[in-house]
Amino acid sequence: MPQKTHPSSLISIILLIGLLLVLGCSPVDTEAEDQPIAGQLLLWHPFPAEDGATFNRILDEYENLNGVKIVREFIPPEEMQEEYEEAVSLGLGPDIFIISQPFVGPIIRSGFVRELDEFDIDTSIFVLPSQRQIRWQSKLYGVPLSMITSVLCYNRDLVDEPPTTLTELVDDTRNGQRLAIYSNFASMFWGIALYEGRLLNESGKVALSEGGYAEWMAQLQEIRNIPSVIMQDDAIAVRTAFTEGQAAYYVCFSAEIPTLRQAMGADKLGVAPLPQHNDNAAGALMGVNTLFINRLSTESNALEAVDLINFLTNAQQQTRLALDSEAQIPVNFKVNIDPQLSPTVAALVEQSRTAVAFPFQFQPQSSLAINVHGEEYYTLVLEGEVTPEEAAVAITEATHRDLGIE
Amino acid sequence: MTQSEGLEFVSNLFSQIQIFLLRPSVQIQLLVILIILAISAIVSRIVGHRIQHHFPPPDHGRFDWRPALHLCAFPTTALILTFIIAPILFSQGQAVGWLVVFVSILWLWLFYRLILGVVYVIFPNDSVRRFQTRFFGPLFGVFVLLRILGQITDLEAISEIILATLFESPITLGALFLTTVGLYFWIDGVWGLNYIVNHGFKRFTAVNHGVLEASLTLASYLLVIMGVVVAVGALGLDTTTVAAVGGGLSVGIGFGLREVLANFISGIILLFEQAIRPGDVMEIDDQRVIVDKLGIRSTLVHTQDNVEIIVPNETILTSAVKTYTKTNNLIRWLIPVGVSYSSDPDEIQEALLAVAARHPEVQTEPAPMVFFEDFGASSLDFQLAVWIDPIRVKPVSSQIRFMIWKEFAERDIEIPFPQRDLHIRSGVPWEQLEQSSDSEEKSD
Repeated sequence: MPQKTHPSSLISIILLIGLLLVLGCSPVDTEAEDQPIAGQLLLWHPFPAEDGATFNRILDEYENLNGVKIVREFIPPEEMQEEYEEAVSLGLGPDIFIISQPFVGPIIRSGFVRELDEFDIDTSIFVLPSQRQIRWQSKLYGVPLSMITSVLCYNRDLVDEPPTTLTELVDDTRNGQRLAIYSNFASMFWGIALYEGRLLNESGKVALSEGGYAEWMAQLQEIRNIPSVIMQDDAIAVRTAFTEGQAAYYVCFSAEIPTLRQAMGADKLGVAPLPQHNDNAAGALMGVNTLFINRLSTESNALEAVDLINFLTNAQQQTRLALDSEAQIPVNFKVNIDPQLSPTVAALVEQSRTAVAFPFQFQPQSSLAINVHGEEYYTLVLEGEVTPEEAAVAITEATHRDLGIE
Repeated sequence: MTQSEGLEFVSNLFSQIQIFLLRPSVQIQLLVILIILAISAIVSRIVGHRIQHHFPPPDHGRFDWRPALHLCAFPTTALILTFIIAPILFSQGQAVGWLVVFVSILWLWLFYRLILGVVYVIFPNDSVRRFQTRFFGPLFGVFVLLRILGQITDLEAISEIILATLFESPITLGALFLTTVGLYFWIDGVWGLNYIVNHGFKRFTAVNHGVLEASLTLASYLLVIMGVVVAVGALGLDTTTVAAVGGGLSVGIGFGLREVLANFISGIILLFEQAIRPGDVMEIDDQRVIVDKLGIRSTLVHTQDNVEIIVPNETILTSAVKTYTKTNNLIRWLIPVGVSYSSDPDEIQEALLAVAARHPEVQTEPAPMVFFEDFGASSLDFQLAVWIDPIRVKPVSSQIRFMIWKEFAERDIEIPFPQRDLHIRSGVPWEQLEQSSDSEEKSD
């Protein structure tokens, strides 16, 4: 027969541990609100080491000022939602985390993040596009930290002054300056606004068929045929062509700037707003890095997290984040960067003012649907199989169909 | 991950655990798990008690389901309770992820204990208990620990923590784990497999036991050496440095381990040569011993007093060892008997052979014999020669002597004993005797 255990001893140990657990842990929450803010916070962020250096320095300063230990963990942005939901199902996960589109909507709807209306957070300090990303059904769930969008990167060794209009850019490329474009629907969305096109109209419907899209796609067909234009849907290849000096211009994401700077040197890299056309500014898609608090965090940790959020979004830290990183676009409208101080940040801020944000009520369905159909017809139009006008109608109708909009 | 980064990682891990343990969602789940374990332990105890009192052991040859039932009571109860409680907690918006992890562990535990229960019926209890406590139990414990830790943190990152630098090679936590815990399980697993194969072959086939044990022992040592090599390789040590250091040490180790190596080689020769086998009766240091187990370094024997002796293999191989069972399991044993001069020698022969024939452990072939040994001082000396199992010499010869005594008593055969005649001289005074003895001493 198997070796006999002593269940009475086992039970005693189990009960003792349970008792210690309950007695030892319970009082913390009840007294939390009376205690000074000091303790430990777990934070998940999507910034790799080189990109997150500035962010980490700000966190270090917060730790020193408040005596709070912030345990930081890097989670790749595309894995953040899945990892978070898995952790929360166990009762774990970070106290505070940062996520951007297209994961913001699903995270809020999952019910795993905390409502923030009860806390002292001033949302009026945030620029308008970012404010669209933080409320759902009139309740505050997230707080914007920084924005990312597309800008025009150029090689200072090859270009003295970047073009400010689309015509100048096209002329430059016709004169032999090479332009590298990561070619897909989302990356090239910025040109629709040049022809007065919009993503959504006032009634919340997709507005691609109302103008702008077809003109921009027709323009892209022309640009594609210019020999010095590199249009590929391979992001790495296009970026490499730029960093190795094969292209003078590159339509880049602001989040790419640290990588580009590292690859080609800070002196060589220039950043400018995307070119205008007929006084219409480019309307690139915008992502917002949004801070959320875990619904399962203790009250004391939630308070600490709110305090950290207020620290990260104050004008001083936002300025620091923007200037030190030269990639993160500040969300606090009080931040005013002098172009003389940092032309790069000034260009990023200027570009963000006309950037287009998806209202997250429509995520992920609208972004996914419009991306899927937009990408499908983008290729067909460039290959000449569908006219831009037909594509505009088809994308609009297909997206409406997917979303159940009549 | 450098040492300082590793320290920071571990510090952060403890901070994370503290943060998690303070969360009510985690506390509730842990408390539920503890309560489930406590209730399951009580139920298991009751089930064990009931089985012991209400179900007697089955008849020989029939499957004994009681160990399996008893072992499965704990995880089954825990599973049932978890399946009842988890949906209730979930419906109230509570996190139940740890209960899901708990269920997955319980399923594995149930499967493990079910197998264990069956194994207890097939194999000897002591052997199974050894595997349970030394292999499967720890293995299951490590699995549970890694499963829980894997939910809290990134195990891959933990495994990359550098603990120290040896021979200019970084020793990571993962490599150390593989080298220590992994090697432990490998070695114990190899010997466990050795035991199972050995046991199975002996039970179900007619394979030569000596060859089987020799082959299995050699194979086991080879596998263990392979495991050690892989484990040391996993440490990622710089082979050039290790070779240089190893070369320097090898001479010293060679001298130090000379006898160990000699015993090892002797063990291999003994195993394959089959000079001795388990069950053989030998004489070592004037003691008759029975061979229990042939090891690669030493041989385990026990005396008839059940004292176990570990004999180095080199001793057996290099010295003359008396064995009683090399070619057959019989020895001739002589039982001396003295009878009165008035006895008829033919009748003595007949009586002794009759006794030998009646004893069940005396071999009929070769047949017992009676030798008329000598005309003794006070008796006619005979010897009864019988062929018996060498390990049964003492009890059998004793029983035969009992029988001879009875046989002779029935036949009125006298067994004489040495007689001394005392001649007493009378009429010499005591003083005279004393004087004569004194004078004898002086003359000396």
